[in-house]
Formats: sequence, C-alpha cells, structure tokens
Amino acid sequence: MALESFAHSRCLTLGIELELQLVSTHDFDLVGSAPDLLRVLHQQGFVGDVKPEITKSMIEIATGICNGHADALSQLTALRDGLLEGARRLDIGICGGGAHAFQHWGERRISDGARYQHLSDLYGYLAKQFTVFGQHVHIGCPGSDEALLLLHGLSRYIPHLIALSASSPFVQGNDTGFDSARLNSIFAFPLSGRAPFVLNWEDFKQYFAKMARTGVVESMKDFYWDIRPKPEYGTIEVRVLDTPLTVERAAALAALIQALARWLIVEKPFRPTEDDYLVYAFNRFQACRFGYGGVWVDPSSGERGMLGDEIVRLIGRIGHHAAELGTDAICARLADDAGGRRNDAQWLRNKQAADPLLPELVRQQCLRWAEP
Amino acid sequence: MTPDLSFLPGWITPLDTSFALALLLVIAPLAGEAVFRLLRWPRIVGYTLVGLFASASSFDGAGLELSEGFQHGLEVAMAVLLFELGSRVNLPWLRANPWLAATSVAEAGLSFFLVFGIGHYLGLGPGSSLALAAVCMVSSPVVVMRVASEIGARGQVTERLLMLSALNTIYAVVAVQVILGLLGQVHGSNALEALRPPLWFLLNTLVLSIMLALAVGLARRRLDLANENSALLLLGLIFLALVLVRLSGASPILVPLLAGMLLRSRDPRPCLWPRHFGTAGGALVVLLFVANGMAADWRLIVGGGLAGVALLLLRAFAKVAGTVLFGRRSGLSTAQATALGVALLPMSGTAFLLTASLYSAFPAMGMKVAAALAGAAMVMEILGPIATQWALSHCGETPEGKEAASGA
Repeated sequence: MALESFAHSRCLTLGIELELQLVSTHDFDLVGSAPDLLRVLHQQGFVGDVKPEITKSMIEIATGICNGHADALSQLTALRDGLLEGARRLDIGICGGGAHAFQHWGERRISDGARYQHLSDLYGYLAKQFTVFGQHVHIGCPGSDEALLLLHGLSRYIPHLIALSASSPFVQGNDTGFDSARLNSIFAFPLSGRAPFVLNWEDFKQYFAKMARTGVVESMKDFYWDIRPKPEYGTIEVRVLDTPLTVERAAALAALIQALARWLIVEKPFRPTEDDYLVYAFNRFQACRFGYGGVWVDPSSGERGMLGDEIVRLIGRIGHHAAELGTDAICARLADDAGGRRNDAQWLRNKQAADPLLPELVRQQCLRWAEP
Repeated sequence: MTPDLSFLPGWITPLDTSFALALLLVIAPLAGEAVFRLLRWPRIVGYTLVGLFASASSFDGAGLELSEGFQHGLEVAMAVLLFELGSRVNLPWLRANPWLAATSVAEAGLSFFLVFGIGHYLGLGPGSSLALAAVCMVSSPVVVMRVASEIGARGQVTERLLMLSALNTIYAVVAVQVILGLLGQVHGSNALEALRPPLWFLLNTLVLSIMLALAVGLARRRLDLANENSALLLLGLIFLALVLVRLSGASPILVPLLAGMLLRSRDPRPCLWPRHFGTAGGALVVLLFVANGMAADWRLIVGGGLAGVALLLLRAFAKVAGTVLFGRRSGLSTAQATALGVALLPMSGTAFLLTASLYSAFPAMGMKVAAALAGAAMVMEILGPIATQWALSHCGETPEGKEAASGA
C-alpha cells in the first residue's frame, strides 16, 4: 500500500485527541463501559468526535481543526461536558491521567472490531498493557517537507513536553518512581521510538515503501513514533504527552506546541541533524523518570542542564511567538509550573501522600476532570 | 430413641450439632467446587444442593437448625451480604437517570400485580395474595450479591442488577409490613392504630441503620478496612446491630441494607473491604446457602405443581418485561435489558424470611403463602443463581476465561 499524499492544511492549526479512563464509581477500577457510553452519547444527540480505543475501558475524544488555544479549549470543554452527561446516566467516572493507578492489565477486554482483534493477536499481552492514556496534538503544516523539518526540530523538545504533561506515576498499584510511566508501555512496541531522519517527503515515501514491502507495516498507523506525520490531515502528530488531569492543561500544552512550531517554522533557529538523536533516548528517559529533575543534554552543544530550568528558558525564548498567537499568558503559566516543579504527576503524588488509598486517588482524579 | 453413649469420653457428647456443622462445612465446599468444575454453575448451587439433600435424607438438620447460635450465624451472613449490597448502591444515580428508577418501579410493580393475579386466581384470598405478591417482588439480594462477586462481574448490567435488587427488597419489606398493619385493622381496630406498627417498625429500622452506618463510618476513618482485622470488627458491629434489631423488632433485612446505603451516600470515599468481610464471613455465607437448602422441603416442589410453574413463569415475564420496557431509554441495549431481567430472577432466602414474619403474625395465612411459594422458591434456589450467572456472563461482564480465579 502506497503512502497517501500529504494533504493541504492551514499552517499552525491545531487538533487535539485525548484518551480517557472509564472507571466504576464503586471501586474506581477501570470498567469496560465504552460501548455503553458511546450508545448513551448517541442517544443524547452528542455532537463531536468520540471513538472507542483498544480496550473497552478507554475512550478517545478529538477536537475538530482549531485556530488556536481558545478554540481548542472551548471545543474540549464542550466534549468533556457532553461525556460527563453520558457518564452520569451510566454512573461511571471519567478521568484524565496517563495510566490507571491500580488496574490489572490481565482484566482488560479488547474492544470489538477487526483492527483491535488483529492488534491483540499480533501483540499479545502488550495490547492489554497498552491500556494507557495519551494526548495527541496535531499541528497543521504548510507542506510535506516543512512537516518533516518541523518533526525533527520538535524532537529536541520531546523531553520538555513529557515533563510538563507527565501524569502517570502510579501503575498496577505502585509508585513507579517515574513521572511518566505510561511511555514505558509504548517503548515495548517494536515500531515505537522516533521517525527516520529524512528531511524531504520523497525520501520519506521511499522509506515507507521499503517498510511496506517487507510487510512489517501497512499504514502510518502501524508506526508508534513519538512524533509522526499524518499525511491525510496534512499535519504532524505529537504523541508523547500523558493525558493531563484537566482539559485546561491539555489546551495549554497544545498552545505551547503551537508556539514552538511557530518559532521553528518562522525563525528556523537551527538545522536538525541526525546527530540530534544521539542523546534522544537518554533525554527522553530522564524526562520520564525524573520529570523536571531530569538531566537534559543539549544535542548541539552537549551542555547539560536540569530539565525544569531548560523549560523555563525555552518558553522565555519563544515568548514573542506565543504572544503573536495570543497565548503568552498560557505559556508563561507553564513556565511557572516548570519553575515551581509542578505537574500532574506531582499533584497525584501529593494527593496519595495525604490519603494512600489508591481508589480514593482515582476518585479525586475524576473530580478534578469534572471541575468546571 | 437415644442410644446409650455413656461409655464415650465426655467431649464426644456435644457431637450432635457440632458434628453436623463440621460435616456440612466439609461437604458444602466440595459440592460447590464439583458443581463449578463439572457444570460451570455458581458454587452456591452446590451449597444449596447439599442443604436440600440433607433435609431430604432427614440428616439431623433439625438439631442444627434450631440451635440458636447457628441461627444467629446465618443472620449475620445474610446481613453481611445485604450490607455489602447496600454499600454498592449509589442513590443519586436514580436522579441522574430517571429511567432507571422507572425500570425499578416497572419490574417490581409488574411482578407484584401479576403474582397478585395468580394468588387471586388460586383462591388465596386478598390478604394472602397481597402478601405473596409482595414477597415475589424480591430478587434475592443475597444470591445476587454473592453470584456477582463470585464471578467478579463488572459493568452496567451488574451495577443495575445490584441497584434494582436493593430497591425491590426495600419495596417488599415495607409492603409486607403495611399488609400486616392493614390485616391488623381488619381484625378490628381503627386506621391510625393499623398504621402504627409499620411506622414504628420503620422508625426503629431507620434509627438502627443510622447507628450502624455511623459506627462503620467511624471505624473506617481510623482503620484500613481492607485489613483482615478491621474486617472482623465490621463483622462484630453487624452482629451487635442484629442483636439490637431483635430487641427492638426492627427489620433484620433493611437495617444492614440501609446502613450500607447510608454509608455510601454520606461519605463518597470508596468503601472497600475483603469480600464478605474475610474468611469468617465467607464461611457463614456458605452455611447460609446450605441452610437455605435445608429449610426447603423438596416434596413441596411436587406439591406446588402447576401453580408453582405458573407463578415462576409469570414472575419471570414480569421481571424481563419490566427491564426491557424502559431499557433502551435508560441507556441499555435490548440484549442487556433482557439479561438484566433474567439476572433479577433469583428468589430464596429473603423470601423465606419475609414469609416467616408473616407466619409469626398470622400463622394460617403464613402457611398458605408458604405453600404457594415454596415450590417456586425452591426451584429458584437452584435456577436463580444459574440465571444470574448466565445473564452476567452473556453480556460480557465477567472477566475473560477467569471464572475459576475468584473462588469461594
């Protein structure tokens, strides 16, 4: 199967997908209610993009094409409110967070549908372990070569985005010590990681054709890269974020990615090289494991810094691009969080320290998600 | 004729009841496991069958059954299951989904009217027919709770099953009390007098359930209830509440059920404790189902005859029709709504207990109701758990291939 051609999209438009947890309001463990929720949403005339995910206790919502932060936030808020209305009729809870704190993967059920059954057959227990919850952000690109340039430019800042969004410290009933343990579930897949270093679309098409010929992949969907091009939308898709605990944070993170993209496209502050990826896996691990406290190695200079400080510096550097987009206040607040070492993983750990009962923690997550 | 056992050492003399008890505790789990492995039926069917065979073979059940300690143990087991059920019921759900409330009224109401019709047709007389109808509303909360937790069911049908079962139990207990009050009026007192006993009964029940809820609430604030020791404390509190129930004449069914519900609604922090409050509660629950089997007389199945079959079929129709009627509007698929109706079929322990309260007030009527009911209730003791299990696994609410993992 050939790669579809890169569609036209308006530069720097946004699209956000959020994968959400469905939990029982009795024990706050995951519950396979996605088919019920979809049915109820349909009945209540819910408009908006809502889809099942690989296991039945996950649901995905997606905005349409957004002009910017305000648009994205209002779309996300409407989606959230509609979902909550359906959830109330079913007496189930919905929450954000990159992983459920104490579910057992063996109890998950794969969703109906040929693709999910295929993935389950192919990946075995990895498919059930894939019950983790991410935020994907699409950025509209003026053209296919620009998309690849943007993809490899953004790669440097993947650790920054991981630390800001991290919300999965607890997995299978234990504190993992990671800020984002969710990404460990994704690294287990053979086609995860980073996109190959090619900077023009013809080369990328060739790469895809070679991979397709081996039979390893059939479509772009089979790549689980941290950032991947999405030719049919004319976007690149950033996939490393944990689903935050609130729609406000989800919108703010998208705004930051948009400002970063504007900076990279307009200013072209550096030329990405293959050598950027020498430190990629190290930086990413540090961000997952230690969050803001992780080490970040600058791929060009080789200098080391603490990720939290690097985030503050980066947001300062792209400030006027954020201002152009009207999101300088939003991005400044993220810089404040990084400076104060606050993220959702920290919030979860604080709550759990106050009350160690993990079901209660998940209940708090549900309340946080539903906060108007 | 008692054989002369004087040559035996002294410690063997209390052999009668404790031997029976020990034997049951050995045989019942074996039977439960056999039924589960060979037939994939819920283990409680095995326990109940052991009870049935014990009573059929006139195994010395009577001595055991009459012993006060044994009776109290059974009441605790029942109260434990009712309390667990109550703590699963989230009443605000009824406000968020009024069609679920409508479903509850529909399934209980239809059961009531259809069974009343049968009673009338059989010539039971209005009083007995009303009582029979009230008792038949109940979807044995004890069986429902036990089966759902044994197979680890989760999902919409399971949650609604627990909710509807708790509600129809409340309807039935209240209805039986009101009927008793009204019958008291027939026996020659004024209307106000007639309503006093049921009101007094409800007031007592409410006060005791609030006290139990407060006590458990206090315990959970200080202790981790997932811990076996704290679970024993809960068992003790429930036992204590039941003693007070007996002294005050409140409802042994409603007090633990309402206490669980109050606990859930007053404090949203998740209530989690070991199933049946740990192994002690678990052993009592096994005995409860054995005793249910023993209490029933298998000859009544035959005696109940066609009337019993008609009663069962009409009640089943009422339950399924009631859940299907508003099923889609309440957010279920038709298949789920049907499964919910089937899952609501069990009737047993609670029905007997309610009949017993009728019997103690009006023996003649109690006998009539018991005779009409017994055949049906007995059959449902076996079929009910199977129906619930089938319904829950049929709509995909049990863990895949893991039925074996959560044992008795």
